Amino acid sequence: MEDIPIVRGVESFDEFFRREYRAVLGLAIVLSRSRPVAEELTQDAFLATFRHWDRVGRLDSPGGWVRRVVANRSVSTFRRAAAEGKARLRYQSRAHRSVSRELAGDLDVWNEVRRLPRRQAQVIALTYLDDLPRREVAEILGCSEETVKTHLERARKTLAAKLKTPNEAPYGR
Amino acid sequence: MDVDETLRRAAQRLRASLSEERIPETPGTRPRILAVVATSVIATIGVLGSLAFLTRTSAPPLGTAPASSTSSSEATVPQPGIRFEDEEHGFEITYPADWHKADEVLATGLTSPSQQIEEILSLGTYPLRPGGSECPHVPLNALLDLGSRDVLVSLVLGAGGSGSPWPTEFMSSSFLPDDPPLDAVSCSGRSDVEYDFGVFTLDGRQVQVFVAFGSAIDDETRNTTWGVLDSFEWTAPATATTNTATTTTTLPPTADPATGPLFGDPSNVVLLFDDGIDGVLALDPDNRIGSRSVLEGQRAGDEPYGLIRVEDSLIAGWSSIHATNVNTGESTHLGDATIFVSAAETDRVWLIRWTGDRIGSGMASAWQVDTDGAVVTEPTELTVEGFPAIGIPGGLAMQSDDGIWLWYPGAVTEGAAFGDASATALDVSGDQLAFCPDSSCVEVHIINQATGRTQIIYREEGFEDHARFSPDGTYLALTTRNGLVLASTQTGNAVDLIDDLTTDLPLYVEWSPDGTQLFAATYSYGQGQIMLARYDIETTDLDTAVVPFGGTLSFVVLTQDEASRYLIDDDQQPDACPPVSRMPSGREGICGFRF
Repeated sequence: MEDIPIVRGVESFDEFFRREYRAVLGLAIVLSRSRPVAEELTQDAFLATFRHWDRVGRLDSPGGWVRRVVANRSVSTFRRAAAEGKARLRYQSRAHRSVSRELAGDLDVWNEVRRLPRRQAQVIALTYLDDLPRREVAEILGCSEETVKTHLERARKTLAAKLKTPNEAPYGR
Repeated sequence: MDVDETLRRAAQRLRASLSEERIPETPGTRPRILAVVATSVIATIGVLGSLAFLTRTSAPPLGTAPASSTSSSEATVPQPGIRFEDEEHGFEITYPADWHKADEVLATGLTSPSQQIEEILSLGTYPLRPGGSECPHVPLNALLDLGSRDVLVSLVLGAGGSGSPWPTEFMSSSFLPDDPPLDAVSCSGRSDVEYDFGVFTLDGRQVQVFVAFGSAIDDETRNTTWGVLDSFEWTAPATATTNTATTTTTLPPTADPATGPLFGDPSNVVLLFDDGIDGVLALDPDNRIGSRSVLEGQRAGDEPYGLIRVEDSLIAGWSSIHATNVNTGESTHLGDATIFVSAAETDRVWLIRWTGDRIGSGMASAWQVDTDGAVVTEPTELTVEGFPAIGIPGGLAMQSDDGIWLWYPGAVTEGAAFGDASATALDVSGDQLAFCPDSSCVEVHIINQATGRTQIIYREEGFEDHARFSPDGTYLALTTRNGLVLASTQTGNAVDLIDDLTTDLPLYVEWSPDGTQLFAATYSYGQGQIMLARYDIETTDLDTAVVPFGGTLSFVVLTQDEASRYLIDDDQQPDACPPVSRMPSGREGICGFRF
């Protein structure tokens, strides 16, 4: 998948950041479970985006770019360790092991999502949290739509069994 | 309700809870690492927003004072004030007579021996209740009681030695000005509170400051608060009894702070740290010299693809990969690739390129080059979907959703997969590949790719994701929450548990080139210190030390001779290294200091 610069006005990074911050933080919270770690991951991802804004800002989907960074970093044990280190420094605590309050009401659901294979967890988070169509999820994760469909079906099947709920939804996204 | 609807509703609730989320300041508008500006008497950064706090420092603040900053003339403590002296910690501070001083520590769980922190004083305009039902690292009850016109101030003594000879510009802060302590928000639910949170260095000691203002705080109380902080003074130098840094550290200094080898006996090596920006920090523990220099190809970001050593070369970079010969200093452009991955073969490295020029973007191909840039294997498409983690003899270990696959260029079929979707490849030595088979990493396995035999080298909770084979492959060193584990690959048993080495921080471990010494160092990016350890394999002696500067990621080990060009000369006058606070650093040449 090539990134094709398109001819359009590039919005300011500040506008982009303010528009996307909450959604990207939500993605990081779901995939990392920890609020401080999610903040570090989100901050680092936007910092990386900022550094490359001249290029990223011209992409068709800068939001997809920053989501990919967060999605990959959230499931990377090494990067999580680094983010946790920074979170611990910042909060001088073991807060990274505490669960984000935003997840509290649906902790069982998100815990099971996090236990999925990393690609499946990413697909679920992007599909439901951002309500993204299959094509955009595929672009963000750098795989085919068919792969996304497979991951989504497997993830739903696993989650339905774990959460003891039916899996009735047709594959429609 | 089926699983689709369950997920939809959970996502809706999460989005709703984040809809009121405060959006922080745009990143990149100020330095990520905020260097501390210091004089010999007092130093601070502008995190407190108090210009008055800066009146005694000759250097300007690097931080950006918040809009609520006031002029120095306004920041005073009204009289009558109480002059409080803390003999135990050796400081004085003046606060208004109608303020309250906490008799107990408010954040009861804040003290962390490994991070050497201790709450030393809390003041407020209202009675301060210690503790709280949860979040013991936060002054929760005091925050819950904070009225709209109240202020809470809490001081925490941090790490750092007194009277140390190192340049204070190497002390860096992990805190950003105005950055709110979001744990305080999430634990207390007090998003209406205005927080100021920062760290300053005073006479070589770090003090962290937590200030919470009520939503209707008036200017007078705000100015009084800055005046109180401005009145803080040390009354006694830090000593072994007054500075927790010297009494509770997990890795206490073992050598005299000013003379002699850092580890007691000479190590004859130099640790070369990736500085996470565009260069390296060389640390000579025998001569107590530190030097910073730019490394060709090194770029900020993406810590996992940091510095590695391949024979006589240092490999660095992403997008454009370079090898620098440590003996000649000559740099060779190895190729334009998204990332590099270490190879199992000596003097070679794998280059990986995705067509989208980003990790995972489009089709990936891999090729091997030697450190002179000669192509050893032509670019070949990676036919296994996944992430190339590390080189194996003749190929790559790929982490995929189906476990770890062994990929060989040109092979019709790939080697069998092992482990599950969260399996992680750790290190390679000859035919041995160390890996975690699942996300829990309760077990660390070694598979011999020639025989297919797998052995479990470590089986216990707490493995921390970093492992290194000794140069001859007879040992595997693993970082764990219980300490550093040294396991024999011959017997499959742990031969030593170095349980003095426990830290809350990620710990890197590397071997000396001759395999006789094992070195460990903490992740110190954005920190003011690095905790170091040297373990002698033959004598099993462990020497530890804390060096009072940080800003480093992983490291490699060079011999003294190999590292000479990365160190200032022994007779060279150390010049002032400017703080690394922007990217690229703008540094040219080499600068050094003694510690």
